[in-house]
Amino acid sequence: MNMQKPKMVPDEDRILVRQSLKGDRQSFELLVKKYQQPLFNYFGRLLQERELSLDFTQEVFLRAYAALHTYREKYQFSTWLFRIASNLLIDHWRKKKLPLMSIDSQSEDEDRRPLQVPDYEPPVSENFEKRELLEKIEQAISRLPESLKELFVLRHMNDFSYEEIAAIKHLPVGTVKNRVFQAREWLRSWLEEK
Amino acid sequence: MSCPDLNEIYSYLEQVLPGEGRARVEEHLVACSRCRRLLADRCLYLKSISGLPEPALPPDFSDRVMASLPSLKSSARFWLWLAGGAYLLFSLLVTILALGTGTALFPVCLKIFKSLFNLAADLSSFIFRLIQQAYGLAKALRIFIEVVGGLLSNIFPSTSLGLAALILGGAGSLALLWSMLRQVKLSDRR
Repeated sequence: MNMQKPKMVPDEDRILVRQSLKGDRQSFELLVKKYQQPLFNYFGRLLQERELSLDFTQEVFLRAYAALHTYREKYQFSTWLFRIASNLLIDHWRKKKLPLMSIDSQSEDEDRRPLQVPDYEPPVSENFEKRELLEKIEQAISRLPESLKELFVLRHMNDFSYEEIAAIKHLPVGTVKNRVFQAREWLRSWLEEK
Repeated sequence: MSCPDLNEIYSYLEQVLPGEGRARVEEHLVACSRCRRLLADRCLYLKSISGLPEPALPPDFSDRVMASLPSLKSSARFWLWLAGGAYLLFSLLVTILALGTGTALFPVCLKIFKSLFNLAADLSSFIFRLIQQAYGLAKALRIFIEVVGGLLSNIFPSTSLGLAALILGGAGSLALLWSMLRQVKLSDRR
């Protein structure tokens, strides 16, 4: 089974960045058109406010354009762009003084702990109608702890690989995998209770 | 064989489990109905997550972004601003000094300005002449290559023959030039 959506072509991005740096605004417009929806999905799920998500998506492109000369081609453009988005979000949470639980605050031992297979569990997917299930998942995502939500969104809403998420968040790949697994199970157990 | 943990089940579903681990899980699934049930449930669950609808963007969003873009930071622009800033600072300093110290310093400042202006004018005319010469040389070289190429292609129907003639001709000319120079040197000694 392949759950991955078609991946973006990184070389195409590098060419577009090079042309944008030469002053070709149409090339940058192509990058905007390519990444506006993934960025809006990211902010939409994490901020839960449409207008604010639109402003943040626009702000990411403005920051990226102003700092385009600092982009290094050894990195993927999508990773670089989402690092800007992630930093913007962290700044916003800091300004709003939200209870920001650091992604790094959990211990490595906790990350490595395997999730045991339960003896019995009711099948969640069969409990709800499809539309109802999607609504419940939306609600559950908004209730996810902040430390897990961002990684979950990057994996499942933006289809980044674990390696790409690790590069965006400057975390070890193993830590990212475990946090995403924890988020899924947290979400699933929330749905099970409903 | 013990049941795989949930991490392994998810890794198996996402096709990120290495070959050996994958084979082990597959072998286990044949024998364990509980794990098969669990796998089917997580598979449906992951499909539901990836099926979440995307929020819709306004149709003119990219136009809005493009309209609000600032100018690009380029290194050439940076140096231009730096040079302009330095010149402005120098002019201000000279003006302040001239006004502050009276007329005594004014002719000196005027001389500096004059020298700077002459230097800039000389430099620009030199660069202009250099470009002109280079352009003329490139043009003459292109005409020469075209003429020689045309001549050779008329005389020699095959390219390799033409190239061989060109090399031989060049070598002959060099040998002739060398012998002439040698004769001149010998007559000078005598």
